[in-house]
Amino acid sequence: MARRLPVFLLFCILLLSLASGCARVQPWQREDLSDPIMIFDENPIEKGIREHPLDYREGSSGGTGSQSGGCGCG
Amino acid sequence: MKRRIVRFLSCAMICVNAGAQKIHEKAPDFSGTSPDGKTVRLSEYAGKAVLVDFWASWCGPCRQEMPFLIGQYAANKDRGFAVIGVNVDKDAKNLSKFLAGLDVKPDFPIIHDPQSKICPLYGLEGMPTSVLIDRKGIVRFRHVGFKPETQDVLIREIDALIAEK
Repeated sequence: MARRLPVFLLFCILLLSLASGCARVQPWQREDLSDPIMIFDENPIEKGIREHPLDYREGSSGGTGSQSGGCGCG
Repeated sequence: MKRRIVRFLSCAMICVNAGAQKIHEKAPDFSGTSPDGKTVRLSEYAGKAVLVDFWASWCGPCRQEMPFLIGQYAANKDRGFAVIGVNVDKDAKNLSKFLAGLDVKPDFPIIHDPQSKICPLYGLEGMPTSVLIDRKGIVRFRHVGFKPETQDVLIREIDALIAEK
């Protein structure tokens, strides 16, 4: 029984990896993903207006990807 | 026991990598139909250096690459060089619209492959993918993506394949 345990564990790990819900989207299947509707922040001006007060209220400047120290002085 | 596990993992790794088509191997033959209804087959270009380009109109670098391919084909078609475009747009209208917007139209064959049956043969990892096949039908070079600096490399490789007899 003890000898079979590693095999059983290996089998369980493999089974779990196969049972995941992730699927690889092949390069030629990315047509829908490349649609402009999939862009989160299509309008950079609108994004700036929306994020500026949020950054300083929450002290999260830089948290959404911009480069800043988070001191609120930038 | 250890040997059995190693054997099993080796087999699993081989299976995972089985899809990727490698260089220095025979280029898988394929055929398809161009938007104007003509049948295009890779094996018909035997004896020529062939660049097979997998592209789509929704892919930015593919759009940038097209004028370069048109120029290379025009410059080298009389030296034994051919280009075959494999377009994977789901809708042929998008392909036609993109081609209509080009200043210089491609005069090399383009296969419209909306179900992407050809792509898995070449194990693509990104778009566009340019596969360079020598006169003997062997895949010699492949490039994923297109950047301005890729052009010089491609030109050198195309010249090298054309020079081979």
